[in-house]
This record gives sequence, structure tokens and C-alpha cells, in this order.
Amino acid sequence: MKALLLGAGGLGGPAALSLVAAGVEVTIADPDRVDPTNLSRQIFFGDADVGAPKADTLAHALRERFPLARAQAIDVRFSRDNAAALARGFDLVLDATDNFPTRFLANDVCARLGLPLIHGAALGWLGQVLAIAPGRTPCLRCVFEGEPPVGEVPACAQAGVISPLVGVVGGWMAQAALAIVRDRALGRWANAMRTLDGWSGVERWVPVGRDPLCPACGLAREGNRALDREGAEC
Amino acid sequence: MLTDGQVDRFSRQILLREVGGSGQEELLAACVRVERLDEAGRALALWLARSGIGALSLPPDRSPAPARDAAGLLLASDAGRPLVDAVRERLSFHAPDLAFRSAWTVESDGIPGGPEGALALVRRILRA
Ligand SMILES: [Zn+2]
Repeated sequence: MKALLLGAGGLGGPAALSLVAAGVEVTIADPDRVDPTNLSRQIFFGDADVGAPKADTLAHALRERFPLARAQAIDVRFSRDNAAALARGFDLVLDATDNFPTRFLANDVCARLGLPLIHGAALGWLGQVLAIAPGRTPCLRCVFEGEPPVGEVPACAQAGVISPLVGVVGGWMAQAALAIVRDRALGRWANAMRTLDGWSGVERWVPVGRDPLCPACGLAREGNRALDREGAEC
Repeated sequence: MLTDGQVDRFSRQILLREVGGSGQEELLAACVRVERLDEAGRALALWLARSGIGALSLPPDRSPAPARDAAGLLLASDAGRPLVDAVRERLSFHAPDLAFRSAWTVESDGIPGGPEGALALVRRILRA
């Protein structure tokens, strides 16, 4: 079982930990280097790792904990130029990145390749995970329609995030991934997005449905290749 | 007062209205009791340390550390070490300034382990 994990940060670390502990082979893609502001929540990086490549540092940390862990690092950015080539050959993709263009690019590429995708996000006190089985469950564009205009939704660097929330969401991402690749049963993940408001402590399974006209995964997709030509800028 | 290093380290939490500089200072001033050093307790301690809780009160559990720690705190090379020694050493990777005390200011009974528990405790301290 081989998973491609996009993002070695706050969500990616805990997700990778649970996956390798369960025996899943993980390839971690992240072009970034460790920054001091990461240290409050990116649990596999220490003060001495500041400036080091994140993907490689995470893979090494996983092997220190599980010597038999199969974890590889690639320090590339998942982009329109390489997305399909990178994702091909994996059993599923986990999106633990922190920006909308990459999230929708991962969604569209996985829909096209028929690859399951686990979407996770944590911002402020709010976390969410959506498990997407192409053709069977709603995709990101079914649920959110499309990317918000640039600047409308703040990023972590502007809005902040409460540290332990990323641990909860990263763990949920691994649970959803294991439900798909190991148990072959989505259970509650099939028709609901799991959300947590960390300030109130309220957790919800928000019902979601497929959009038959979704440009990424819906019935209209076959006749609509526009996304291939002019999809999300990345 | 937060040091420049702490402002950097915790900047993403300080940005939150419910935290701010004063909330982060409250977290750093707290000493949370971790009741058990099982996997859930180790994950709780790890996430409390990362969140900037200033001190932990750990039980003096000297049973042998496991070879595999799904909490992600212990390394494979810690297998067989007295548990509390290994836990303290590995926690200092997560928070170099973390203190260990016997008397605690925040109880954690009824709190789940792992990051869920750390989130609940952070919320409890900030709401107090
Ligand atoms: Zn769709």
C-alpha cells in the first residue's frame, strides 16, 4: 500500500506517523524548509532542524521511531507541471498542504486519475477532513464549488492556528486513509465531512453530496476538459 | 513577558484572538498534570509541550519504555529505558524550555489523551 503525502508540516507529520505505524509506505512531498514559526505545531522538527528540508527531516524522524518504516522524501512542489506524473502509481493521496490552489489541483488530478484523496485543513480553531473516492463520493469541488478569490480566506500566516488542532486533524486524515486503503470501507467518511471547532470542542459530521454537474468528478466531466487546459493557477 | 524566541515560536497561536500574547503567557505559566505515561498520555504530553504549556507533572513510572511508540514521542532506541527518563528527554526535543514539577496547577482528569486532550486543556486554561 503506497500513499503520496503532500505537505510535511503540521498535518502531514501526524498523518505520516499513523500511516507508517500501520505499515503503509509513504512518499512525502514538500519543497519547504523548517522555519522557527513551525515549531509550535510541526512535531517532528526541533530547534536544530531550522533551515533543513522538511520532507527529508520528517522521513528521518519516522525511521527513528519505526526502523522498518517505509518513508521516502521528495523536495518538490506539487504543481500543474508535475502533479499527474507524481501521483501516478500511488494507491491514494493525502493533501496536507495549506493553500487553495494546491488543494484544488490535487482534487482535479486525483479525480482524473481515479485516485482516492484525503483532504485535510486546519486554520484558526477550525479543522476539517474530507475523504474522496472518485466517482463514489463528493469531491472538493462538489462541496466547495471552487477556490475562494485570492485574499478572501486568510492563510495560517495571517489567521494563525491552535497547535494541537493539527494533531487531531492529521490523525483523522490517517484514519480516513486507512478506511479506504486497508478496510476498503469508507463508513461515515462516505457522505460526510468531519469537522471540529476547537474553541467550542464541537465535532460534527457534516453531510455532503455529489454535484452531478461538478466539473471535476460529475457527469459533465467527460464532455468538459476545460480543467485540463485552464484549471487552477498554481 | 514573552521572549523574542517565544514570540517567533508561538506566533501562529498568538495571532488567534482567543490566545494573544497574554494567553500564550498563561499557557507558559501553567503546569499540567499528566496522569499516565501510556501511549495516550505520551501523545498528550507531546502536544501540551508543543503548544507552549510551560511545565508538566509526570508520574514516576520507571517501567521499561516500549520499542514502538505510536504517540511519536519515543524513539526505537529508547526501548527498555525507564519510561519517565525517556519521556522527559524526548519532551525536551519538543519544547527545550519545558519544566518538570511535582506540583501541578491544572488537573487533567476526565481529559482524553493525545492532541484532543491537549486541545481541551489549552481551551480550559484560556477560558479560565
Ligand atoms: Zn466533484
